[in-house]
Amino acid sequence: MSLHRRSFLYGAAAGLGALAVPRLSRAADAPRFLLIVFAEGAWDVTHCLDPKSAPACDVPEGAVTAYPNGVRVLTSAARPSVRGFFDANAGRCAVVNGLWIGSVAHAPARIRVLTGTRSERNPDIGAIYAATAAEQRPQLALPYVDLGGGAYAGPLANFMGRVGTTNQLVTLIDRSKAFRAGPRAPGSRFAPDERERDALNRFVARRAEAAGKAPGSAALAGFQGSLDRAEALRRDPQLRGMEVGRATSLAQQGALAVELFRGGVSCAAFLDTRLDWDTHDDIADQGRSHEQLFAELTQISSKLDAAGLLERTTVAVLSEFGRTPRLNDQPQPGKDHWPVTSALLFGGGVRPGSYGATDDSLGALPVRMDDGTQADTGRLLQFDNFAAGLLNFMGVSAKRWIANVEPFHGPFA
Amino acid sequence: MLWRVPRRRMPPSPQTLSLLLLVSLPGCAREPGRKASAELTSAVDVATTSAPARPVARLGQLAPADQLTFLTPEAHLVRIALALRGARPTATELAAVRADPGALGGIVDGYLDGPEFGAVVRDMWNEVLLLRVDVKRFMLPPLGPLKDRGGEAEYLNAIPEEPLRLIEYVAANDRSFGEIVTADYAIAGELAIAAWGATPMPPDPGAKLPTGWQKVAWDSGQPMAGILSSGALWMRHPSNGTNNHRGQAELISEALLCSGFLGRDVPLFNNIDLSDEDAVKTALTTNESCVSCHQTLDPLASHLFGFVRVAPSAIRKAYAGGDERCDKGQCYPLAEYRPQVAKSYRKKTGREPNFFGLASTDLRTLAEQIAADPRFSMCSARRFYGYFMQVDLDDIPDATATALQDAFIAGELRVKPLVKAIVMSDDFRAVGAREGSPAAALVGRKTTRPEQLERLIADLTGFTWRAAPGKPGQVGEVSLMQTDRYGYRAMAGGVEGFQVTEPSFAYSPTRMLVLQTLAAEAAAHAVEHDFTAPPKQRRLLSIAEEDTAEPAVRAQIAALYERVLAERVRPDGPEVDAAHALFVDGLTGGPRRAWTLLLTALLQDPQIAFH
Repeated sequence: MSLHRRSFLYGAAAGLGALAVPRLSRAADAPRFLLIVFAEGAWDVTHCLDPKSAPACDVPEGAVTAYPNGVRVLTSAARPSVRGFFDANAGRCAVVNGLWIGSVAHAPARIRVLTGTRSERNPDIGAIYAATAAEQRPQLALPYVDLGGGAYAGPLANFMGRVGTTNQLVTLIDRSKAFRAGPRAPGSRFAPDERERDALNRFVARRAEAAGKAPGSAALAGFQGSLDRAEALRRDPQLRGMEVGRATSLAQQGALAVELFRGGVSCAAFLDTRLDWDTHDDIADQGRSHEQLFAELTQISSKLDAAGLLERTTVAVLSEFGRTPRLNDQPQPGKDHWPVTSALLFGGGVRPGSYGATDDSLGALPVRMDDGTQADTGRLLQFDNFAAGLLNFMGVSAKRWIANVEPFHGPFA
Repeated sequence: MLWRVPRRRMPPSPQTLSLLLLVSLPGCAREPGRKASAELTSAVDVATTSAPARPVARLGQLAPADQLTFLTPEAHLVRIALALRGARPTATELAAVRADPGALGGIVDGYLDGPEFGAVVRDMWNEVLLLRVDVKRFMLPPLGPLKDRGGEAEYLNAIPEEPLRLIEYVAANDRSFGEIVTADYAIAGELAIAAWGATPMPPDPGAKLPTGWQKVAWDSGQPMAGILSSGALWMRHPSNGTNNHRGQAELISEALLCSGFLGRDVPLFNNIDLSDEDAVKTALTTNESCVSCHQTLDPLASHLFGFVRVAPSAIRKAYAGGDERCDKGQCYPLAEYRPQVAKSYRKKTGREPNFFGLASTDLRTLAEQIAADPRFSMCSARRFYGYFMQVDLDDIPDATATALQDAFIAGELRVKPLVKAIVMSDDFRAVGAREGSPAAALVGRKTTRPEQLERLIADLTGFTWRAAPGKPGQVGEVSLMQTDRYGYRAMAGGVEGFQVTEPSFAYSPTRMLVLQTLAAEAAAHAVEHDFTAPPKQRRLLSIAEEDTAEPAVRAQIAALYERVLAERVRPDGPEVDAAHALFVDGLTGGPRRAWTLLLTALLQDPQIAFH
């Protein structure tokens, strides 16, 4: 999809340059994409990414499968999709273990791993990358699309749009799909035609431009930029085609993200697995969720490949923290929160292999920040090192948002 | 509508009586009962109310006045009206302030006494307590007495609102704010009573209580301690069975004392097996890093062991399984508190209840400790300031926070005087600051929140954006600006309460789409209404539908600017020129469509989106 020619006349790109975002260090003619997949609730990494053994850890049945490039994961006949995913993608996968989050509470940990900071008011990795990329590619209508719900844009909100938990964004851009009105507020529908919409937008843009000249009106720049982008979204066929009323699966979110990347609408997307990972009371759910996750990641990988985007897309699969090495004593045993987790990266440019390290009982071990190998003289790999490393890899200087942090370079060639 | 003040501060209005109260004390954490240093000004300048005006505390300024640009008194009134009512001021109020800026205080008093202010208080505390969450795992299943009661829509209006209604009650009735935790009553509606079980209490004479809500005591046996006794609060923030109510203790500490534990890092405990209950118990009392938090966190959590999570899945099973499970309190009314397990902390953590080193035995004593803690008054005052100023609590300068606490204490922890001081302050009145000023990051335009936008549009047009998705009767008629499963709250910058827990004040493309669509729907509603209603019942349009003569249209447009945007423009001025051109553009579809088009534009104006 391309932007309508009238777009960006309204705001004269006022919103795009209003925030000082770091410049991409890579050539603008090779657009790259970032896909963040989030496993909300905290996964048990011993089920796949960081295989362990008894007695230090309670582990599921399975065997370690080692790939020539150094990727080692737990696979099992009970979870064929895990094996299937790595058989197909190990050559472009990196596993990062021993990622120290420093929190065992969901929300703060989630904020840490996504933003590389401790504040929800800061933008997450996707937002930072998207805002930076949008400087080079101002034609992106929605640089960062939140398909899963829960991305953080902070002051970069102008670059991000939420689709809604049941895809209700489509009800805004195609009023024929709007939820029916109820008896208390039957309402009246008014859908301006294209000519009217154009006149409306010009009128509002002029008002915003005038208001933006008044003191204390920095926020108006974002308003103007959003005016343009909203118009572009309204015309996007992929978004207009969304089905409304039910939560989308990870694979469905992934398929839409690929279309939005391909259509030049977005360059970063946030997806949610829509699976229950918070397994305090039944560890078997982890096995089911892993199987489902990797089945859907395989579909996403295939979609990216079919679209010719896999080599230019970095997929970061994250969870806010891990789960305890041992089972708890609940009637149906599960695992509790653990401040160390793993990350899976695949796609373009990722240096395949395993990075970071944990000991037998899932304790984080020090690593070298340059190549990710375990070293007693190294440092604990923390959430901020990881976020800064990923951003640097995506061509963005992380300093503006994640201060005084040494980027982790391990998997980022 | 800006007013740059001269370098020398303007003298106070001759009609203003200044009362300097008491002495200033150093330090930031003070006793709530001590005398405060807030300078109180008794506004004798009431313009629109006959009752004596509340005194207003002066908070000082974020920066010297010559670094700030201020709104005009009229624009200040417009900002206040939106903040406290979610509506435009009336023409009478605007005229009063135009004639005498000193009239503002009396008008603010009127706003604070209105029902809309109670709703604002609830909105604010929802952002703290994150109660309005339409995520199934935090919602009670519609079974038994909750079945066929209006679906999710009615549920959301009743259950999550229960603790918020208590906070509203305390604020609206000028009670000491500590009562939100010390109250020996709750404020519950019919649905909450059916869900949790409660016994009605005699109403407080003269107290304001919204229709459908009443004063009750819970039946489950928990000590009555304001919101701390609320089943709805703990259902939204459950203990998962293994964290021993620490998450709930964190909520109390963070929400009420601004002293949370979660900002801190957990220590590196490679050698502690968190799944080994005994090992954890030992570490929490012997490992220095663990002890630093848990010696205060765990005793706080020990107050809450009587609360037992009755999960939605357990309720479903109970209704499917029959009487036996229902006898265990898993059918409505739920037994969410079980006195017999209230002391099980002895086995679990071994920590007796305690409040940051001070003696405490149960929820009642905990509540009293909280209310008496100087952090409570400081935290609450900062929360109100942060909400209205739209700034992060951490960004509030210490001097401002201290002045806020002083004002709150001077007002005997009553919310209305505090809020009056905030909205009347130069901080709130400032719209800009010179570059480099310490106030630069804190003042400026305020973004209209989704809840405010809903109220403002409803006030102007009579339109409330609702929908009835799903099967008839299942979801009910939900507010699209206050929900997320079908609505647009988080998409419009609001707090969804689960993953999105901070509001956004920046505009995004999807927020813009929400604004545009709401504007179009509301405009269509208003135009249709006004062109079919008798003249006296019209809201915005007084012009006859068929009258498209330019002078009449221009006069109507000027009136719309004044009402919708609170902006006075001349019928022959440039603003009306532009609006008239838009109207003419729309005339090809007839006058009704032209007015709808124009009103759609005005309702998505920056003056609506910001204030």
